[in-house]
Amino acid sequence: MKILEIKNLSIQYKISEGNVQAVKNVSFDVEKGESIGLVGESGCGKTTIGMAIMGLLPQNAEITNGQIIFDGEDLLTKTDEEMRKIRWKRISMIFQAAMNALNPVFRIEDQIIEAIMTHSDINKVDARKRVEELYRLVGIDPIRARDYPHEYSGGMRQRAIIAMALACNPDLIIADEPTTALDVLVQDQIISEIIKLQEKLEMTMIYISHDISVIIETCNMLGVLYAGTLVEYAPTSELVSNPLHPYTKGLLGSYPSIKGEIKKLNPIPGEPPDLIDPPSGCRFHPRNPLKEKVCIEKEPELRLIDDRHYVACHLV
Amino acid sequence: MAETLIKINNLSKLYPLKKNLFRKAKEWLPALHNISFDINEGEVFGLVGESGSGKSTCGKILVRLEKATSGQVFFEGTEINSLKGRDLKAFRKKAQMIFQDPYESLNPRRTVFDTLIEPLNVHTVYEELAEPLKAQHIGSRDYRERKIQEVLEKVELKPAEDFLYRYPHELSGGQRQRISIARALVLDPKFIVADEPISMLDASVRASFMNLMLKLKKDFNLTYLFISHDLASARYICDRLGVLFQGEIVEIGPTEMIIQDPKHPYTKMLLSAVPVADPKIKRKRLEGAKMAPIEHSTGCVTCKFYTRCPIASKEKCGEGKPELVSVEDGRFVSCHHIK
Repeated sequence: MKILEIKNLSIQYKISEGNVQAVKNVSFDVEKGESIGLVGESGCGKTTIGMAIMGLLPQNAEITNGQIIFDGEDLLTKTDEEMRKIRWKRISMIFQAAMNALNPVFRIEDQIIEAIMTHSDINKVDARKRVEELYRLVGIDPIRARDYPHEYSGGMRQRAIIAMALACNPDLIIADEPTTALDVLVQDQIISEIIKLQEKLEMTMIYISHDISVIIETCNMLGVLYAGTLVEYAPTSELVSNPLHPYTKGLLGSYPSIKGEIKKLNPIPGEPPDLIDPPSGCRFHPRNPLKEKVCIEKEPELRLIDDRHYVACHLV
Repeated sequence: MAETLIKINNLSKLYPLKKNLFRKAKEWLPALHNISFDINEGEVFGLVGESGSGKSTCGKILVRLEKATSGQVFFEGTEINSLKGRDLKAFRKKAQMIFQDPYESLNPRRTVFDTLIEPLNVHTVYEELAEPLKAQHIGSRDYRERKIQEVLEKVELKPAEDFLYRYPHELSGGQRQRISIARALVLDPKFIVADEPISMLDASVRASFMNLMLKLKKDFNLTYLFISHDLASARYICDRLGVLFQGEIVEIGPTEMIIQDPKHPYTKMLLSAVPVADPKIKRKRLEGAKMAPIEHSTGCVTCKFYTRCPIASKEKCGEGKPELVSVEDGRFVSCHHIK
């Protein structure tokens, strides 16, 4: 069953230098119980997509085209009040581990209780019980719920943020770089925690990260974004063994591995484009040594190649 | 056998806690505790560990941005902690550093040219030059301009003229980091400390920066200290690795040996935590990777890893600090369980 369908989504930001075309014609869908990884470099639009689903885009952002269909309804036509009811209760978000995701002057327990009570009909006593339950679920001693954020380590703070995201049993969780600011060991624990929870609660998740190896470990579908466009979307194992888009190939080839032989890295030449004035046609063509005339002239469309394997490239 | 460029002997660094104008520090935070190792000429030595393990402190001491509390650092046989004045300046010309964040480490109000000419202005005083160099007009502005162009081309910012008068905000992250390394290179240093140089860069840019570093190493006969928390990148670029845990070296040796066959339980834990970009490989997660709160104390009598170690035993590890002992040729581990 499809829980989320994104159709031809385009988003731009208005800044003093002009309009940044942050997301262009992105379409993909999410089945219930699946975890989707969105990977790409900074500025590729991955967080913008996440924020658009949550309805939390900043003031200067404008959705120029497209639909976000969640459970049969287009979220983009909803009013603020209707969105508020969906947010957190049905779609929640795990933010990047930063001090600013938790309020430093309130006890963590109170912050989670507030989230629960705002979004469901439940009294404070039950909400407190729910917090205890959630703390056990994410692996923190419930006694620590009465602490303030500064008393937590980075990893614990991230766990608390995960607990908060799970608070109302949402249908969809968007995890935006949940482990980026953490050390390797803590990152590993949080990832295994997320995988465990996902299996246990059968949650549907969109996992956003710049690190393709983290995504490969956590997600069963993988979408590769480049300069605001979705260039490839496929089941993870298929995408890793048979990458079709030159950018995906380049991205996979530019990560050194800890296992196996040391291979010489073949990075993609050049740097991502400026999205105020993106390249014509395929946005990747300036960095593609094999480009042809059609790449410069025409925008490629996302085509179905194989079972759920989509790619946007003229040369495939 | 390559010659030793840097020899580090029982190096310690303590940072004072709770110090103020009227009170001397009573408590000290040991950022580094009695570490010793050598860096050979022409190699890339990697320091890996978690944040707070003392990697950056060590890097800063090796270029004398920080002074060690005790212990010695020998650079080409000269002890650098006691260097002063002219000698210190001469040393700084030979040992340079590049920093993690290219957005912070370049002055936003200086053009690339201004940034790159500054070290040359500071370090080449015409009157002090030896006669043959004077004949080449090394101190002249003309020479400096030529040098800057040459270095910019070496770091693959071509054509150099296009970049000379740009400001940092007109450059991308990768280009900025290239300027950082160019700024170090204009002085023809022998040794460069690279403190997490790629962690702020995007994946596709990261790989090309590492390849560039390796190329420059050959072109300029450099020696690097590469500080990183990313083991996969360290593996790609380093010849030897030192693993730091809470200010102490727990394992040191050739990179491949450590990656393929880690001996210290901490190294094993660290390696097992690196995600693998291959869905066919299922990583085994080490149990017992508990995160005990980090307690820094000078009078620590047990192995520092004791509280988190999966194989710790009270009789052996609870008493006495392990020493760094040689296990194989060129390989040292500090653990009571390894003989």
